[in-house]
Amino acid sequence: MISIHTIRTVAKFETRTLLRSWFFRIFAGFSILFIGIFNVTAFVENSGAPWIYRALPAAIPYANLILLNLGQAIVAVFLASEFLKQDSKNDTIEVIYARSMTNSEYILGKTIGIIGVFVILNFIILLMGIGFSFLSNDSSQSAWVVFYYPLLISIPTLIYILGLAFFLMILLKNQAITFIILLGYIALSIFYLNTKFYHLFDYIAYQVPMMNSTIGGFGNLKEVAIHRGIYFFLGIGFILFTISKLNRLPQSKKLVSLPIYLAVISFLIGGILAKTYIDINIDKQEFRNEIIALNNKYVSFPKPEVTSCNIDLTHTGEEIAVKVKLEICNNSGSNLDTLLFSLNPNLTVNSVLQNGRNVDFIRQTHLLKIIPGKPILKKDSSKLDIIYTGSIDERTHFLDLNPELTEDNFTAEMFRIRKRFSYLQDNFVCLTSDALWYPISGVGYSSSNPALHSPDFTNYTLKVQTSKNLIPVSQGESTKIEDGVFEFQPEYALPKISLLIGDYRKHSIKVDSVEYSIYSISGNEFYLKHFDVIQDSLPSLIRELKNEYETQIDLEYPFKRFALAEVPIQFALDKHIWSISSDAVQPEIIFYPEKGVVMKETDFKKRKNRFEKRMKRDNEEVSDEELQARIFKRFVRGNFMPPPNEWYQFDNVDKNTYSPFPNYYGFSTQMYSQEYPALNIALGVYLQEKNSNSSSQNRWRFDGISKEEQINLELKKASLTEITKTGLKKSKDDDEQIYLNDIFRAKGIHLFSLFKAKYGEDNFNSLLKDYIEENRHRKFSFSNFDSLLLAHNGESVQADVKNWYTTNKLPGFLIKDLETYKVKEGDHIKYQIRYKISNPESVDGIVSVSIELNDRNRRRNRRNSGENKPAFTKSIFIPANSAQEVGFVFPSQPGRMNVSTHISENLPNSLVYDFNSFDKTKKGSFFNDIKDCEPFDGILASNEFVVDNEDKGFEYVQVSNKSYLKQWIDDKRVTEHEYSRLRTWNPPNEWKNVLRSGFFGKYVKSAFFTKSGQGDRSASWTAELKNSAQYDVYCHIEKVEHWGRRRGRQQKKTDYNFKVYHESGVEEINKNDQELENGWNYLGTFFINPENARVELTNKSIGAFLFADAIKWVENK
Amino acid sequence: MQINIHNLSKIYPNGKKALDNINMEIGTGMFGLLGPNGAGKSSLMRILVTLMKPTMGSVSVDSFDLEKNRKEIRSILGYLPQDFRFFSKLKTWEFLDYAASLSGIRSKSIRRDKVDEWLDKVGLFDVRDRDANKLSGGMKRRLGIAQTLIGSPKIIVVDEPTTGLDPEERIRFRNILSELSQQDVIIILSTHIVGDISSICNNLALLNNGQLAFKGTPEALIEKARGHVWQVSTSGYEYDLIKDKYAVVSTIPTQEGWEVQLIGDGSQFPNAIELEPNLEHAYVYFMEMSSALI
Repeated sequence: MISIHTIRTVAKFETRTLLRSWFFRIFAGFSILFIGIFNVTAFVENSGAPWIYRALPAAIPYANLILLNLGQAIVAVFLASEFLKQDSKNDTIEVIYARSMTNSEYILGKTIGIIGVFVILNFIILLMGIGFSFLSNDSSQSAWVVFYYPLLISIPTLIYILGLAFFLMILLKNQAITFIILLGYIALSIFYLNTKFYHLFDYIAYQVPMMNSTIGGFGNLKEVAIHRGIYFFLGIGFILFTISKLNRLPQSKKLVSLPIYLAVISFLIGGILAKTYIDINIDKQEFRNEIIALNNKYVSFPKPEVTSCNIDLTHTGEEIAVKVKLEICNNSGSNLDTLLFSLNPNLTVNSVLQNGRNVDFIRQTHLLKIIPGKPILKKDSSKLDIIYTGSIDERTHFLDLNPELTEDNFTAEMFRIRKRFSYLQDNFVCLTSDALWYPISGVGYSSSNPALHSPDFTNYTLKVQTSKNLIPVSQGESTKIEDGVFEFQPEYALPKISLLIGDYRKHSIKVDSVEYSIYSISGNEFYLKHFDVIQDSLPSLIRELKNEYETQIDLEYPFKRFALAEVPIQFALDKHIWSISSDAVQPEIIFYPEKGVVMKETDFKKRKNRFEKRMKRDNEEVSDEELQARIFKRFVRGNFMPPPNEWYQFDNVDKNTYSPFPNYYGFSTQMYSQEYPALNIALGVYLQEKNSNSSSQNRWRFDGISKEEQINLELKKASLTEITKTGLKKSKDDDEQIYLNDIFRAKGIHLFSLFKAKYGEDNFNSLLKDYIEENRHRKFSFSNFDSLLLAHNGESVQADVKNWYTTNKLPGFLIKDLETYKVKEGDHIKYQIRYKISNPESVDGIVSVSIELNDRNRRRNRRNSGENKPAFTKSIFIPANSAQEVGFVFPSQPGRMNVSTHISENLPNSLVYDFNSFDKTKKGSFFNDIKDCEPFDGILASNEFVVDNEDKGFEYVQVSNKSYLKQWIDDKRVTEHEYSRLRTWNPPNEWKNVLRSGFFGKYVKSAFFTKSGQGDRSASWTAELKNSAQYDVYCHIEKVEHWGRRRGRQQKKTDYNFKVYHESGVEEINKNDQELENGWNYLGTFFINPENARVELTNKSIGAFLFADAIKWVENK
Repeated sequence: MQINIHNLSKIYPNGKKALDNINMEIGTGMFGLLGPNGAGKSSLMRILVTLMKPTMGSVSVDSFDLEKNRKEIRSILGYLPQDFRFFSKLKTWEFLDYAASLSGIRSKSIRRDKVDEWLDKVGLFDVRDRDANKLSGGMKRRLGIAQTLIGSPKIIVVDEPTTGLDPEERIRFRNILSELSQQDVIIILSTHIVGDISSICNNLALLNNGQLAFKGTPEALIEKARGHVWQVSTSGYEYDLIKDKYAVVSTIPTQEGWEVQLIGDGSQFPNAIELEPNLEHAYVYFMEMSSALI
């Protein structure tokens, strides 16, 4: 029998010893201090702490424990190994060992003692978090739920790491080696392993999603508990193993092997839990694959069109019981002997009636195959009654997303949050069409035609029966029949409906016959007090914002309601590959995450303080009403109608996440094409963005390659059809990841922009607008749309669309003869820019030119990024194999021109020209036009020979100063694309190819970039000259400003050391910064034979870095 | 109560034979274990206090076998190891409280009384709140003996307890043990300081090179040395010869040369005087004898 007294005694004295250890005291002191400061910062107004910390009651306690756990996971290693080391060092231990107690009692006592101390620290930190949570008026609700955190985060981590440390100490008998191994292991876990295999190796639980929602609770407590259980049992196993290996004779012979057996059992339980954990995740994918395989099988299967769907749903706890009446019509073009529907696999179909008679049906995973009494003939209609009950399997959601590219968690600030797609709980329900909670005709995502998504426009009615205290939210006019029973009747046919049920409070206002509502969970109406004085002006504010948005997109809101409805923070904000916005955007309703934490501008308190500060600074007097109106507008603009250059702090949120645009196009009408399904999103994106400006000119050029450029690289490799089929590879860096949705968007807007350019902007846009209005609340086919274009423009776009889908050729743009000068017109001086731009490729292209003026207020304007627009923008259509001469005239001096080449061969796809001077003044008329000119496919004269760093004549010697480890790690890294980031503050120790508009190149303007040194790295250009002759030799230089630590001090400017080979030897040429200018720089004139046409550059320079770009030989004739 | 040691041997993994077929019984009272450094005393004691397993042989305490009944034996054990210097961060009274608690005294108040009683007995009451690590060497020894005795053990094993103690502390220590030996306990005291044993032990064993050289009362040991202890007055030249040939116990310089006490047959020296042997003489005599045998 184990003696509790002995365990308690050992634990008590171990605790006492540990509490007196300075190491622990310092750690605990710093933890409390640091986390205390962190907590205070999160709550102090104006600290800039994100809203999520104050908004969610679990946030601070969760953050506190995660931070503490990171520290204690490391500190416990020291303490644990110290404990055994001390035992061997302290001769007094023998007097303890000679006492009557079992080894189990001793080790358990020690372990409990150590863990006890940490538990005390954890509770102090936790209580501090709870205290701060309650101090704030912004977060509230139950504190009990946060007590899960020490159980889930700290205890398993501590037991595991203590056990492992004991085990290694016992095994290795050397504290130093144990430290090294464990610290290595911890570092490996934190920096590498924790993201692998579904976070299986994340023993610290930093990446395990554990955020608790006040609405939906933990995202997936079962999975988290299994994960933590793995480490708990492994830890126990190690501790038991330590008992059996303790260097003390066991108390009794009888139970000497018991700890070993128990250790094995613990390891087994840990192993089984690990397998269960992996299986859950693998099963998830296998199940999804099974659904996709079935969808592939039936994707071309003729299906009925659902014209009407009457749903009668009863919500009982974690289940629903549904009676659905469907009216279907056979528009498939063939007779239907099987009616194919998709319905969530966890829903059990009890009966199916066709026109009042029972009919046979087959369930296969998510498929419901109804065998009608007799085949439904073409154009015939029929009525179906389907009765089913059950729960919702979430694995039916987002089948179209590549599992390699999407995680089942997301990050908001320091929190990992489990993505949830649907909820069916007794106090909360959230069902979108992806949950297949009502029968949907045909199948969903199919990998054989991934972009295909063409739901029926159906007239829905929904009756919901739930608990009396809950309120359902869905599309259409809501009527309360009695407590807990509601009916929804949408006025129009919809492609889908959604259902939320919760303890909602509704606030609404009717403006111009549209009802605007917000549904918040009771207790989460934090915003009310921030908008208490704008009730009267709210209609005009809403009207103003709506007009602003609709002016931009030139479409009118087609529904009678617009609602925001609160959902748990875990609600997934992923985008379908065919969708413009996230799934939070539903017809008439936008789901907003709990208290708006994953949105912009929802920390109304902070925003108010900032406004007040600014007003004070500017001596501005603003009424409370005006202030609230500004805050309200900022919130609406930031989330629902953001400017193109809006910045987003959460990695899963962008300007389209909450975009209401699908209500204008998508939920109210769609274009359908079996052959070219991506046309629908293409048209949507065009409609959404046709009037917005390109924002790429503001992008920092440190980034190696932008999303748009990556898309171009992908499109160069494969056509849209191929990419759609094969999918995209996972990028090493999450920030660089591109998705199919991005490609569809980019490619889509390009196609319709070409049409616009071809057929005239006004003509094309008004035609499109009328056609969309004409087809409101139903879908239209591409062939009808094409007929419309044919009728109006005299040509079909079929061929263009086919080419768009199947080609991997891109347009490419060359600019030459760029001139800037002044023109005198009467007394006025005007500024002329003119150049020729050619597209020598076989595909039509479009460029957007934007020009910034040398405005004194430019800097100031830049700060107000929201309103910063270039002075002038223009899109220019350049058909295949053609060129345009472009001229612009400005009354004030232009400072910079940016030519965005969009989808093209050009890299970077934004060509920037800085104009320092307009020295020359020319008389005569100015040129302010775009006219055809002779196309050109090069920018060199016939006597010019250039070797660029992209050419085969360019070579470099790569001597790396990297450590073996770094080299090994880098070798293992997959290089996604060949262009690196231009980090001038940290230049590479090897040659790296970087992009920049100022570098030389036909389409690809790149250069090799390296840290300067003593000449150990070199690059060379060898030209294939035809003649032996006198040549002028030039080097191409782009001066890049140094951004780095030493920026404040005088930084030495880069000089270049070239070796020019010629007939009589080699000439060494040094060019310092003052001698050099951007562009071609003359190195000298030499007699050069074809066999010695070579120039070398070493990395010897007084600057911090240098570039190897291009060399030009100009033959003197 | 009696400890029976039967054919006990201990061979370390490096091949060193620390104990070689030891057989003896130890009854109640004070039992001295005498022998030079490395004789095997500590090995024997560590086996007796269940810290180490013998390679061969067995030990039993009454009907309890040391191998099978560690629980019972440990519950009546009190042990003070040779080194007793480093403590974890506990105060003097806390360390004693820890020992008391582990020895099975569950009641907090009884434990407190016992701790105070023993602190008083060993003269540490005034430093009860001092960190055990900060006690002087002598104080640490006293704390050691207090923790050994606090649970009223039946078998007390103390290894080299007087090393590093000043004479006054040594006497105090001996007195505590003597007092205890009056009760029904076995006290095993290992030392290489003969004086410690001569004053308090009623039985002793002599170990040399892992073997039992003698077992009996101190008187019997002394008796064995009778006739082998001589005092010789000698000049410089002879002294060197004596040193080479005999074990010299003491050398006192005189006007003529030296007065030397030696072990062996000293009758051959002209002015030799046979001395009444004491325990120290006996110890040296036995060490010499057993070395000669080996």
